[in-house]
Amino acid sequence: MKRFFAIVSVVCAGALMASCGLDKPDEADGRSVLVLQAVDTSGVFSEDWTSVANAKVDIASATEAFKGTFTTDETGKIVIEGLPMGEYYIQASMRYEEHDVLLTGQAKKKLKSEAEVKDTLFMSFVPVSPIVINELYYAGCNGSSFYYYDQFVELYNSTGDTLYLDGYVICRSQQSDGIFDIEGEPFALAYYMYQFPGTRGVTRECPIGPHEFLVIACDAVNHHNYGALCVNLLGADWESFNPTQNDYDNLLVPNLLPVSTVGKDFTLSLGHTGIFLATGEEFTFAEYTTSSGVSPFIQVPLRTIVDAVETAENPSPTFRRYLTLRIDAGLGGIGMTKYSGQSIERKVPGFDSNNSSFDFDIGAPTPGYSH
Amino acid sequence: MERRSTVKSSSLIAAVSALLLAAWVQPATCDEIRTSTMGNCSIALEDRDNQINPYDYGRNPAYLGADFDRSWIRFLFSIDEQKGDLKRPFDPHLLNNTFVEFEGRKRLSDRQAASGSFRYDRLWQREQWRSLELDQYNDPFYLTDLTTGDITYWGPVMSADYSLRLSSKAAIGAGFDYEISTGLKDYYTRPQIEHNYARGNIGLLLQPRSEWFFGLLVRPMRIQNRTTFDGTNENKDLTIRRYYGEGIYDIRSFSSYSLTEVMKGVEIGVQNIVTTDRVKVGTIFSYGYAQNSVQGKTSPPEEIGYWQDKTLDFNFIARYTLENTPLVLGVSGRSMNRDGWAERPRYEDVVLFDNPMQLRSLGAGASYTIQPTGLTIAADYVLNSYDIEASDYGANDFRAQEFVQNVGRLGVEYAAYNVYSIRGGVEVTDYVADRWLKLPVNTDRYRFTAGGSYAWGLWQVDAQIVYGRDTQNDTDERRRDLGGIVWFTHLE
Repeated sequence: MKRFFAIVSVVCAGALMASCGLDKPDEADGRSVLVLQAVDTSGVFSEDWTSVANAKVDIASATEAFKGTFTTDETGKIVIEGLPMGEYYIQASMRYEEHDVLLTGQAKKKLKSEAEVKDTLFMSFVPVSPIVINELYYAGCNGSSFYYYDQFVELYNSTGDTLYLDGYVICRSQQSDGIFDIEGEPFALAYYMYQFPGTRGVTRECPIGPHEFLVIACDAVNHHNYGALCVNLLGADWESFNPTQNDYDNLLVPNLLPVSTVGKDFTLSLGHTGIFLATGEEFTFAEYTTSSGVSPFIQVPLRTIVDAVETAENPSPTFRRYLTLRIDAGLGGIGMTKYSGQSIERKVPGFDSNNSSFDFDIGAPTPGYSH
Repeated sequence: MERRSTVKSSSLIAAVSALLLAAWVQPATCDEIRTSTMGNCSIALEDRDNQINPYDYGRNPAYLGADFDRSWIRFLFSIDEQKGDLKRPFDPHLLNNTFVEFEGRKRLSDRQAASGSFRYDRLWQREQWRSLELDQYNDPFYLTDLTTGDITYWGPVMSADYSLRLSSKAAIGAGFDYEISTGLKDYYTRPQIEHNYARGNIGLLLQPRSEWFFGLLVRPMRIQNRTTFDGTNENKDLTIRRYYGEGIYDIRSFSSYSLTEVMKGVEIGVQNIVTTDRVKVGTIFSYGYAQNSVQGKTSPPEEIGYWQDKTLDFNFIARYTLENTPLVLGVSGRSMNRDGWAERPRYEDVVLFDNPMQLRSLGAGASYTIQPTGLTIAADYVLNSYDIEASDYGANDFRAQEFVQNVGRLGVEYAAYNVYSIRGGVEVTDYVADRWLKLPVNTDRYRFTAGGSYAWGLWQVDAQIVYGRDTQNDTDERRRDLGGIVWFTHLE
């Protein structure tokens, strides 16, 4: 009898071990349904809000490599079925060629446990900037490990007039622990700020012609000599130069000078960076805590920001944005590798829906021209 | 343990040879290489290591002492190469497996016995398309890059069993299997893949009656596979894709990264073996459970995949030896239900992948030894009915196959004077089963084997050559398997 109980005990213990584990969920992934209603709030065609038929709806996963394009029906509605659980950026766009009007609307939705999620995409004009950051090359190249001095920023004048950038500032943002919610602040934080010479509205030293590109090089050097994928920036229009540091200066290329007091040059982070162009009419110095201690930052009011782009190589679910969604609703450059010699460039010069997830393509750098 | 003599011959040459050697030759031992060479005939063909007893049928270590003839030590060398495009997408185009092994069995006392083996293995996966895991098909979560390269794994494989007889009616045993290997891909992204497998094997054996054995088995198991990227010579960032099923993937780019899979599980089995002079029956009922957690190296660690697998498995085999006739008849059967499913821990309310599988199997076999020529002929037929589903909800891809698999085996052996034997066999599998349903449907497999053994003094050498071929009617793609193994056994 003892033996019998011993056997039964062993079997029970084994069964107990085996019963560990999770219960299988009843519901299946990939069954989420997203119901979207596109509504025109611009007031161009009607004083009331109206549904937008045949609007193009782009949807992109915030963390996974998924993109899809759909079209709303006659009632402005679209039902997207079979989506896996996740977080998605959504953008609706509608171009009326005859009126030369582009309406866009954006949203970010998390599909977690509900079978069906509904939302409205409020579409309106994009407050088009006359000048946009058209191309951003920050990945670095294969010249050597850690070679990223061929970075550049390309601006584009999407108007028919010559514009002047005198006094404008180009800024790189950075994470600060001192701001709990960037969405609640009326400013963007600049860590590096470099300024065009002159005074906005007064001098005219920094022109950018109609539908022309303007390239700001980190170092205006023929970097191609140092690696096959590196960029020749001898033709750059401007160069960021920090006279307080041991920074290279091409005397044939005019300089943007630093306003900020940190860093050796206007370099961009290869993994995650935020960059914006502002009029430079107003900004305030402030100190914030970062992972490396207290650092000087510059608060730039959102109303002075002309264009902004945030990029990230590997956004994770716990990813923290540098820039508010109000100036860039998405992330560009997802999946672009460090030292790959690739840049992100707007799909069409000047095309700016304020969502870098949809506005940019990844490709070979083209400083001063487009693909 | 029951030994069957395999040495019968009337040929002149064999007779002369035998006469010269008979004075000091020992009986040949064959072990499982014999059944393997004879087309894998195993239902009715009884062998030193293919008997219906708790060790040979279920590897209950408690029976090791009873399953003992004499101590021996063995050295063996094996090389096998599979090549061809009739494969699953992430299988290597060419797979080369080479190993050397020492193994042995020793009686420690009249109540104790032990066996052990040590092997050093080289697994060479050539022209491996994108896969960055030792086994890409162990769960729905996998890693890829965008290149094709060779991955070479090196490492030892060890196993041991020990038995202790407690009384005339009870014995216990314990054992383990352990293997560790490190694989390196020779091309960007150059990961290092570390594989670590450990399994315990605990057995209890009772013999309530002289003809009845009741065994209990508990086998805890742990597998850890870690893929580590430490940078490359190409000055490129490491870009990999992490798949959650086939439809959902993310692209990750790092200067260094590692991903670890840890599978833990346990298998519990109950054996019943009944043996009489003519009839032997064995059954095993087992329950297996395993869970696999996939974690990425972040701070804090990010659990990105969970896979769980439960198995209920019932096996039986029976053999009947006719009176006054060297004919053995056998039947076998199996009923297995597996239920595997996966989820992304981030979305734990929903199933990502569902993989139920059912197998019902019936087999019959016969083995006949022609006296006194020493010619043994064995044949098996097994009918397997599979019902497999692979529902990838994330990809909206629902695969299902319900099919019948026919397996036919034929083996022939000619043995002479306990000195040498020549063997050959063929095994035909109509419709190779793949749990993930990624192998082209209705792939057939043909396996031809030839070999022999030679014994002198306390030594015996066994050799086997295998040629296999997978074919499929709808495609010109083929896959062939060519291998050989040589055993040198020394009896003590």
